[in-house]
Amino acid sequence: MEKILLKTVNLTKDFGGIKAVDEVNIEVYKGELLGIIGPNGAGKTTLLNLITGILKPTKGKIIFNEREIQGMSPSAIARMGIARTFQIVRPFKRLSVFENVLIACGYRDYQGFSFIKKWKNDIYIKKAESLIRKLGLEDYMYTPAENLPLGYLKRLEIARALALDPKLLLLDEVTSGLSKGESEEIKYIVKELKKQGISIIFVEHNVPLTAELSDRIYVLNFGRVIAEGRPEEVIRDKKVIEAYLGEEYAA
Amino acid sequence: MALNEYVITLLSEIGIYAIAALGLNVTWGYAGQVNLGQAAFIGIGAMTSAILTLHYGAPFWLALLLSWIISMVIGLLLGLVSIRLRYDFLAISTIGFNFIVVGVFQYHDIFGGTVGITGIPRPIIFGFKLSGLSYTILVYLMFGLASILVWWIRRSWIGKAFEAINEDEIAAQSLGINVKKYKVLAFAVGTGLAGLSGSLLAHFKTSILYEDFAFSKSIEIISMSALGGMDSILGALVGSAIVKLLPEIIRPLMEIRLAFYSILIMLVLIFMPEGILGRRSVLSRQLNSMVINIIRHACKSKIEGIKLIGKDPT
Repeated sequence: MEKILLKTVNLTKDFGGIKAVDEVNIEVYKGELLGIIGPNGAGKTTLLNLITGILKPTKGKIIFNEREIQGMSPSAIARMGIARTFQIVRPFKRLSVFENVLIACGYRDYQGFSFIKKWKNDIYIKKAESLIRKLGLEDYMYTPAENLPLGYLKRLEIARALALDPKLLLLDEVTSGLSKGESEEIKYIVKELKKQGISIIFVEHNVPLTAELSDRIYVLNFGRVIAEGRPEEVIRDKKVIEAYLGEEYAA
Repeated sequence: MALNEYVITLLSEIGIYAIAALGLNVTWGYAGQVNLGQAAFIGIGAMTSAILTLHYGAPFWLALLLSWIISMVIGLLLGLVSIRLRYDFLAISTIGFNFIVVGVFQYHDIFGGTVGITGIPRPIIFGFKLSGLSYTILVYLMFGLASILVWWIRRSWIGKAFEAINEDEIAAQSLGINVKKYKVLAFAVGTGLAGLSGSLLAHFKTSILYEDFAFSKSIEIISMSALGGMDSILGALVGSAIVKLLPEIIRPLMEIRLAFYSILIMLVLIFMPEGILGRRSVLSRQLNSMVINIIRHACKSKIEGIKLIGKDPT
């Protein structure tokens, strides 16, 4: 049996009576690409926000590398090795692509008093440049992020997340709003990352894409896990078809 | 060379307020934390320095140092309290703080109450009493030191963290930046510089009154900072010079100073949001491209390489 990297236990988030995430138990194994799908408002992004500490759970536990991380600050969780991208991209708009990635490279220096170190440090510069090249953004190295099209911003966010040397990477709808060509590129990048052994949670709208990439899939609806398993089983699951297309199709 | 007293006074004041504006640039311009009560910290610095030298016979340097530290600590505490607030709420709480501080100054005798503190000694260094031009030199020396501090912050990781927080707090958190810590730090650095400027002001004017640190003074500092460019070091000095000099040159402005500052802030926001010397201001970009062109002409053989370096705004 592979090792469990991240586990949630009865994770619940209550927004004034509406349970966005309701008693969710998921497990992510090391090196696995886990897909999470579900219709709009199913609680996918809320789940990621809970894992990354942006939201505090109403109830339940999140265990990462055998440590409970619920209640920890988002920055501490990021430093432990959970990196993420955002569904609605959040680049540092006025900074260049290079600076965006560079800032992420310095995460170790934001601890203690080592923040007084000079940021123009060869190690970080090299690391940022190699990540930018890896994601194919080298032509835009010194372009302010606000001038980039969405497809590049999504890649920039992946580069930034990778700069944290994550053990677990959370990709929140990385292909939403992208053209087919751009989605293909992202797909290729995600496959490459998986080859490198990074565990990934891949949250998506796009069912065929997720099914193609994932080792396992969880399906969320109304904050609950309604199905779990291998992609080909899950997409044939009656409850899943119901959730996506309505009851009449399931029959 | 006969610099008359009027010019020396003006120069000193420009330098003193430039330090406070520089502090605001760190808190607001770099880290994006609104502080509408900068004058309160000038006041805290000034009162600390005045009381220490007058009542406890502390030497000037010690008073200066302690003014800096005490304003920084109080700024740190205010930062800790207001950490949960953002934008408008933070703005209102800092205004409130300004009024509270002025109120405390006004109603407590140790701060001179309604008559203020008078007879603050001029600093004496190596038996040499600093007044007139020598004091102006001291002021600009301190501005120089403050600039070095700010410049050093900008080139360290703190500066990058400030920029990231300014741009997007949630994204900054997700990249491992402890947002709370850096917000408090930004407050402390900015208010510390205000305290320093307050101490210099106290020993320059030799008498201070609670009114000197009212909310309107905060607005004045903001107009300096905004005009010069909030993310610029030299901009603080340029902004301070213009804001101080314009009412001197155009006398009628003196009567309506507050309105003048407010209109100035609005005009800057509408027509020149980056200020005069802000890093992304029109002037800075022009200067930048000029420098790049000169370099390009100087070594035509490596045009490609130069282009890359030149475009790098870091």
